[in-house]
Amino acid sequence: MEGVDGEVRELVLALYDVFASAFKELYDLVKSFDEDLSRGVVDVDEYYREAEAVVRKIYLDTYYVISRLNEALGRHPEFRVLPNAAFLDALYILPGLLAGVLFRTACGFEGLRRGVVVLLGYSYLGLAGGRPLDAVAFLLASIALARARDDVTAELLRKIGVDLEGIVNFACGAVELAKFLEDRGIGSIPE
Amino acid sequence: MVDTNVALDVVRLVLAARPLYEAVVKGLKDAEAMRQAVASAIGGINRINRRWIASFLFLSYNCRRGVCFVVDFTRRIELPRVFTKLLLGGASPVGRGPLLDEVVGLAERWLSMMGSSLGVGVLGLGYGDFEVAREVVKAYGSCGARSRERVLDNAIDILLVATALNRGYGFVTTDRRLVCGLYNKIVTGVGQVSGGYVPWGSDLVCLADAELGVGGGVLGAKIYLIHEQCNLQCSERERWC
Repeated sequence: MEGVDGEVRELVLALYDVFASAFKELYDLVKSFDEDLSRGVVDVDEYYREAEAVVRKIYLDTYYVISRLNEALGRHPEFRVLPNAAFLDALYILPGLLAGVLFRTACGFEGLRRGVVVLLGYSYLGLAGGRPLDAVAFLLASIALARARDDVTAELLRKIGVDLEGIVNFACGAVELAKFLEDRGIGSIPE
Repeated sequence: MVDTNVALDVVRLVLAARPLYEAVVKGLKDAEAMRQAVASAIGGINRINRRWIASFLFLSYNCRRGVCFVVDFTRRIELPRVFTKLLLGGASPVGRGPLLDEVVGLAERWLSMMGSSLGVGVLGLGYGDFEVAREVVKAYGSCGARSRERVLDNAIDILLVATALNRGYGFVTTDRRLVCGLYNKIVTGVGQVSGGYVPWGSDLVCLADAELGVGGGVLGAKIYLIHEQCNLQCSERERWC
């Protein structure tokens, strides 16, 4: 950050704080959800509300800090473009790629494991597609399914308007279609 | 009703993940294979893009319980192009019949798989759909010969829009050129489909209204456009009328 004045430095650090505190809050949310699952008492509504609150806070904080940062950087032409395109690309390409890998992995399994890994894949896909609340819901649903709490999984998925069977079938259907092409030497579909 | 290309996006995403998946399967110790797989996904020709992700999510959420279908597209250009590549590449044996039959046969098998795999039905076109398509062409004829010609150049896509209008179905497409072409005359309203929480994810799905006056009545359909930049600020040049 050499050459950038104190205001910008403060704002960049504030942005790091937003992300760090968001990760901490999400980590605490997931940990507490897992503990409640082990005890057998989970209030899905409460966790969903909490997830909504965390996501809203991340969004508002990030939006505020980035707006301030862009204003401040406007006074420094050499840093005008932030966040840069490569940074934004990484935000969706890597989670999107991991979702694809997880779908491929999941569909090699049967039963419970298939559902757990597909849900995890959707969590990454939600993150890549700009749906962080859905990403958290999918993650919690995946943990619940891994603990054989199908009822909790179903309730969480209902909140975001999907059902387990539907999305597992869809993801594995996509994998099946891709494999049909790959088995015949087609590794990509032109745009 | 889903345009073929939206369904193909879903498969593109899974195809693009193959190198990384194989690197993972080989073992996490193979750091170089992993690095190459990630590099190819980020910068290679199979580079994942935001539209593929949006298409995957949109269809996952909306194509359940048999409410989605694609039009029988085996005579359309996208799928034959995929299978023609395979046949010309020699990866698949060509039988005695004409090459086109081979391509169409393979495409039909894949299409039928798509029906069962993605829970997407297959819709055959009817006489009424062609009648509405003719009305669309007529409507553009009133804008002049050049407009009519541009519509006819996009006859297959027009037929899809006409089918949606004729049956009152939603139409999901990635073809911004088509939506902009129809802008003003058929496509009348534009809005954002909600669903994103962050700036880089909220603008991938746009919703437009399509309307066509036919025989004293009005046919209407919703058009969902999935595109990297789908703000639908269509320029004068992009509009066919």
